[in-house]
Amino acid sequence: MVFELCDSENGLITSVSVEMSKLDNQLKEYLENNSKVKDKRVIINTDKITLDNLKELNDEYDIYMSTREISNKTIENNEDENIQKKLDENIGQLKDNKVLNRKIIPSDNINDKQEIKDKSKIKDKTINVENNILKLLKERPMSAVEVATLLNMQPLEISDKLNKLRKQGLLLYKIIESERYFSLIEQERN
Amino acid sequence: MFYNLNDSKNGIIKSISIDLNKLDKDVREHLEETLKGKVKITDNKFIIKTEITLEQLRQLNDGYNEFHSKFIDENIIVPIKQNLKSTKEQNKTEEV
Repeated sequence: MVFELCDSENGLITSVSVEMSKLDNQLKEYLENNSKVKDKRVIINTDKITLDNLKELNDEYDIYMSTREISNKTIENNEDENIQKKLDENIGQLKDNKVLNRKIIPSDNINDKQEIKDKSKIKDKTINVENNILKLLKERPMSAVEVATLLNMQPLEISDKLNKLRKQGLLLYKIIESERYFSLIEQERN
Repeated sequence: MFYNLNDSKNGIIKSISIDLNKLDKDVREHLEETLKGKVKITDNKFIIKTEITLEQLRQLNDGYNEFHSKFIDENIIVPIKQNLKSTKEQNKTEEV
């Protein structure tokens, strides 16, 4: 576990901590600037999450790290410059990434009113993204990275959506060469 | 989870809780009577003071699950099996 329990009240986690040596440089830099550092650990305030959310957060971080590995491999092999460029952009965007935005809120960075205003827009956008994912997966099974690249979005954001669709019983995923491949359940049954 | 996280400070769990709604009525009454004054009861939860890590909380829950499955096995499954066996034997004897 990279993100570990720090403080909690009445069963809800109010902060988590991360050992700085376990972080990759980009996230380390981001978190150092936005959070408290104590005894070589970054302390991050959380929006009253549960232990299950903490587990999800760690799972998402694993996906983020595997995405980085794939990106690095692509760079090494010079396989596809466009994919490499897009992945780099996505990783750059992870500075305000889904892991941090969805579960962890750096102190003093929240604007509640704006958040409420944006909620309806986000909801519409989410439905469109989910429909687009389903359309793509009708064609063939794909990994989160491929789906993200085709939709020009962050891999982590996509994987979040994929997991949501999976929980709704629409998708299944299988591990192929350490990457999660998602496909439509209907397709799999046929 | 039977034992739930309640309060923690710097990664150390200072208290855990048990949801009273999850307990059998008799067990709940017995515990309430036995632990009166020793544990705090709020919002239908027993609050127990601890000084443990998250990993130890997991072990605690694993221990409870093991105890619970043994209890079910010894007190429910085995008697049912024995009952079925004796019914079968009785039927055989009657047939003869």
